Amino acid sequence: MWAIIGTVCTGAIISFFEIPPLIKKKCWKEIVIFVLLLLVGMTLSILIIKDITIPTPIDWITKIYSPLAHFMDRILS
Amino acid sequence: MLEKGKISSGEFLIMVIIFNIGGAILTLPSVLVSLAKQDGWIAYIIATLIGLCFVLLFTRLALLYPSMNYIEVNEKIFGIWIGKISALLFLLYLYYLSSALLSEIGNFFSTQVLVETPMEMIMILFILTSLFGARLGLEVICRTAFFFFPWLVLLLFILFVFLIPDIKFENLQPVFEEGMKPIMRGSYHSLALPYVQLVFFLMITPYVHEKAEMKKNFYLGTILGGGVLFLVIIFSILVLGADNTARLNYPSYKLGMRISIGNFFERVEVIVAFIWVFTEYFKLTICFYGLALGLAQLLGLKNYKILLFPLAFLILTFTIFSHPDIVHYQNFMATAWTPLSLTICFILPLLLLIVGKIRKK
Repeated sequence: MWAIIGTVCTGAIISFFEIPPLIKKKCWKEIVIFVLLLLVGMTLSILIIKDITIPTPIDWITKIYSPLAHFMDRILS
Repeated sequence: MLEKGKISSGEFLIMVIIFNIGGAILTLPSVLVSLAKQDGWIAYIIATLIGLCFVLLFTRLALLYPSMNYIEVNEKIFGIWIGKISALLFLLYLYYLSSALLSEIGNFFSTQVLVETPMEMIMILFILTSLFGARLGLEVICRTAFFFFPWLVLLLFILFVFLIPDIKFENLQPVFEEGMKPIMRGSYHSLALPYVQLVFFLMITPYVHEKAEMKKNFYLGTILGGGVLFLVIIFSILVLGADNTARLNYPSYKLGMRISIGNFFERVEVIVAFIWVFTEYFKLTICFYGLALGLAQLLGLKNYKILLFPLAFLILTFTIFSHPDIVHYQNFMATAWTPLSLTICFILPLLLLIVGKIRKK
């Protein structure tokens, strides 16, 4: 529980320091992307804290490249 | 222009050397020697020669549009949409690279040095330090590397000189025991560890002052960094033997433990850890910086510094969930990592160069 509160607090403190200068300069696009990335990051870290398994993209990459990897292994051994 | 800083070609040279050494110095000897046995050093020479061909490709590409970095060149040559997709693939590769560097740091410290500290804490501290560096910009990173470089040379010198008494030349024999096949296999796998990643420097070549010097220093840095790695590999084989090197996770760390001069100059393995942390820190910082800068250019933002904090969050979480355990990580490194790096860092730039040459005519 404390870990989640810590994560949310970190996010809030970062936004508190980063967003007001952007509002002053009227950089709306920057604000949207900043908040979006921060929300994705915080969601992922809360999922990790709660011990929920997130499917890793590395497995998909391994699957895509496995024919090529086997081919190279066959040539070189 | 998002980055207004300029670096000199000497600083560029040092960044290339550090980028080559970082990340590879601890893990490469074990990977290479487990594939090519005592002929690992021959395999590494072949890999270096191929690596120089990669550098030829990258310098050609850098001098095609000297004032643009890799993301801008992609959009210029491939057009807006295909260019954006190709640049995004490169940025995803950088994202994975940063998280792999971070996880290597976490694994090393939690198994060898700070055994009772949780891995996440070490990674958080490291990424925070990196964040400060990346926030200060390219000039500061390169100049800090410039100041730390003499210490790096000194430590490497201490390591190699004090290992000379422990050399056993019998460990190198027999040469070519199993023919050419294992050697080719070893050099194929070591292509992806330091050399093909040099494509990253296309992100910072536009900010180097002297272009002609830059080209020369790119080659020189690759050769010098490769030379240091070559020494580490051949010393691992000569001092520890091929079997031991292949079995250990961090053979060069073990090399430091072997140093013993007159029973009082001992236990200096922290020297190796120090070299490694230095180089790994600069590699991570420059990758992190390149990732933020590239993403800002891709999305058309006015400031890249705003992206650093969220990206640090994302890199940290990806490090934790991308590889559930170290076996998964080593499995990925042994199979899909080399073809993946070759596609993104060699085939895409090659296509870019061909299309760019045709378009410029």
